[in-house]
Amino acid sequence: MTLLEVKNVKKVYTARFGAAKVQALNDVNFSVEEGEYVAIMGESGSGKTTLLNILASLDRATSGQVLLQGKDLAQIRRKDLCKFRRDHLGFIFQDFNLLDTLNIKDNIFLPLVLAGLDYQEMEKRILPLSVKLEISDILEKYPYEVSGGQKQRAAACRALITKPDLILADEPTGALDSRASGKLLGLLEEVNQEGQTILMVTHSIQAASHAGRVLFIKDGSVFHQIYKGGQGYDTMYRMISDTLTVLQTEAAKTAEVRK
Amino acid sequence: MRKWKLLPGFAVKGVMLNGSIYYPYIISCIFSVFTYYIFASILENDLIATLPHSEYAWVMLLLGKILLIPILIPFLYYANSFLVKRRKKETGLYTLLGMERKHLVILLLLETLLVYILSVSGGILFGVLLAKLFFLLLLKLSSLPVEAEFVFSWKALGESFLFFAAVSTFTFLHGAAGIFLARPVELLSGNRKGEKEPRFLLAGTAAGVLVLMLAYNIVFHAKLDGNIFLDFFKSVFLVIAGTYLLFIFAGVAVLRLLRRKKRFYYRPENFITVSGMYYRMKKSAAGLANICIFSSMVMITLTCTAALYAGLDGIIEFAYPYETILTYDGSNLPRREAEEKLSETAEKYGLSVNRLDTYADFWVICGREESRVVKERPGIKSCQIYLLTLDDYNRLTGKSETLKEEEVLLYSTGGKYGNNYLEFMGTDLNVREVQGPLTPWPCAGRDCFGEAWVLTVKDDQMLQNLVKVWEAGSGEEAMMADQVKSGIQLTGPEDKRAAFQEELKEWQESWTGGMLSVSDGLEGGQMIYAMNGGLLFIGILFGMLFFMCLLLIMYYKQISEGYEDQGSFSIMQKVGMSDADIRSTVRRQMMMVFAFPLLAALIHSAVGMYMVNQLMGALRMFDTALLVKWGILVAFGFTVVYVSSYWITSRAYYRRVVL
Repeated sequence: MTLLEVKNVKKVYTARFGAAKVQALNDVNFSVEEGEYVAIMGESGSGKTTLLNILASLDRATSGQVLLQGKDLAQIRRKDLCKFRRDHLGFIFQDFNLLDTLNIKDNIFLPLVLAGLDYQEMEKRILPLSVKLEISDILEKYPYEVSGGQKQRAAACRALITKPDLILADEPTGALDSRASGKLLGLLEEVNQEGQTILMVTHSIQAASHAGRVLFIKDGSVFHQIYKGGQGYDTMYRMISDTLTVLQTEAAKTAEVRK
Repeated sequence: MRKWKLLPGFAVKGVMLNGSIYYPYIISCIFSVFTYYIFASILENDLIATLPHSEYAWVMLLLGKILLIPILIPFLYYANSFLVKRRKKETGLYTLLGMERKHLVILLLLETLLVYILSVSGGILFGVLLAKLFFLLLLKLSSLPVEAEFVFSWKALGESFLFFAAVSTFTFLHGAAGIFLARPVELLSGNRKGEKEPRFLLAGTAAGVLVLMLAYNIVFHAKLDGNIFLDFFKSVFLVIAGTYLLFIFAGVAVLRLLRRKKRFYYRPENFITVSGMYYRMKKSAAGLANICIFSSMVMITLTCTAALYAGLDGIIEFAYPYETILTYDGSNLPRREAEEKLSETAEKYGLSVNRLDTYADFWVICGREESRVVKERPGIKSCQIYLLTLDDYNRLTGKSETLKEEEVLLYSTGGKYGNNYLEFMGTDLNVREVQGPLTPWPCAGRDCFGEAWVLTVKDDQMLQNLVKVWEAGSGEEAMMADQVKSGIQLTGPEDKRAAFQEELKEWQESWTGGMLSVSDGLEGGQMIYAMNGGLLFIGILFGMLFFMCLLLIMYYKQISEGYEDQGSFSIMQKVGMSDADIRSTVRRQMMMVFAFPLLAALIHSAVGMYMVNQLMGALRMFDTALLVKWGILVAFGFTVVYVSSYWITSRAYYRRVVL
């Protein structure tokens, strides 16, 4: 079943002064099936973050449609958007975005508290998740007392605890060392195998090679995609790497032609 | 050396870019300099010493100037430490980019100098412009002749420069110490760490309650005696200490309790508020305690000032029930003649007579133990007892009382006596207590120094008997038996009344028929005006100063928390908190935060009114009803102003947090 459908999405930014327009997204089309693990790759400035913001309903497309479970995000009223985000989406950010004022446990509870859940229910949900994400021993600590990897696992826990339809991860390994990255990616993969749909934006090949499918964005549209199928990480890693090389040489060629 | 040239530019930019925190600081510095200059320049004015009775106003002003120092220095230090903290990150960045510590110190010096120049020139500019106005205000409040000329004083100018230079040096050293002691990493990372819970929560709370109870106890038991001022300062100190302790320890204890109550804590409307307050518990508690203390100071100062101003005429009436009193020996100057002299002189100057009373002036000093009047001795309460015949009493009051043998009318200028018998040096008397007004002896309505009783006896015979009893009991000889007082109350223009006084004084000087004294209530009233005018002036300026401190503390609190919470709210928005949720959370948080100090300040002020009521007695202001009226008016007005300044300063917070 299709969970997310992106149809002909365009995003044009207009500069504050003058008529200069910047086309950030130019006709993006793709869909995500339920239970999939999709990575989106692209160079800086390719429109990755713009796309993620639109998917997260933090921003609106200039034209085109984004359907989550068949529902058009553009049709949701502004004041219901927060509730929609809370109920259907989970976020993992590059810089963790944990609140300094709350301990790890309360940070994880934050979306549930905002949704008005019962405390018993919260406790019931956090237990298995914190064990799986290996943070059950730091729940009472504050963000400044734990490592980056632990912080990101706590953020993942906060994203998962609402049982969202879709997890949106924005460079989740961007601020982590390779060991912490490996651990987080392994956990995300595990979560995906249990049926959680994940969409991740990254430019780390290591991160992308854990995904089931990788989309490449270039100049505001989907340029190419590769499926993992039954292949291992190494094959996937090589394939991604090759694709990126092609992307870069093409970019260089275009630049030369322009000269 | 290029970089040396860069530093002044950095300093100016540093101040301008952080305008939202520097400008309020500079404004309060300007106001501080202004206040100091006003006090100094009026004190330096020679003319004040040449005005009649102005010495009282002068002394009050000197007292005010001295008091300014312990108020301004800690306050400016507090405000400045806020600036230093806010700019820590910038300092850290400069270090990282290769500035040495000495450069940072020079930068700080330049900034301090800039702030110093701006605030001193601003303060003195306003001071010079407005000093004359304030001088006239002082003269007006003190009822001193307004034609006095105000002279600009270089000495006051120099003094203000120096005073503020000392304050700035102090703040500069504080900032420089911060630069030398901190490591760049600490400077850069700012303050993400939450505060540790203070230890000994329960003990601290208990200490706070105890200290506050002690303070309130002193207040409630304060009597208008020699200890009243000591009691006042003791209780002020204890209230301040108790407020800090209570806000910090009890505040944290309550927050901890709230956090433990899961059903309460994990509700959307409480979650962010409670955790945010817990995170910076000590800092916000201290800030709130400051707000509470300054609010109480503003309210009490304003109440005193307003009540004193409204009660001035009452004070003068209390001290001088008659404008002129002749005291004379009744056997040399018959009562009728004295009265005639007074009324004729009044007529001569076209003054109308409101009241003219004559009565035998006879009093003894005794000791008082409950319902017994004994010989005065150290350790027991002393009491002045006036003896009055029923004739005089009825004439003074216009009543027609009758008395049996051994029965006396007792009138107390202090608290109520409340017994129907009295043992007067071993002689039992039946007492009928009467209420005032009894004109020459205004009633304070409570125990205070100078408390007196007026005993009205049946006739002269009875009076002589009591005198004998007193002489036997005290072993002393009674004063001259036939001393008489005639008092007159007048209305008319002031210069005519002064001429009236002059003529009587001349008459007294040429008098050869034995004892005669003239008491001048007009001049006495002017002295009271002069003394209280100085007090009022201080009250007005200090009220303004305290209010400015309060505003600045509020503003800094809002803006610093705005900076800190900015990030949190943007995260919460991403996680699914709507704008409306954020707004209501912010509103709730600030309501709670600002309602507490106001509430505590209102309680402090209400309790403080007991003490103020006693203190006012020292100024001979006994009109409790007037004080209560002004207390309520001030509390009401202050609440309105407080809420609106909270509303205004909270916009500084909103602007940071809600986009």
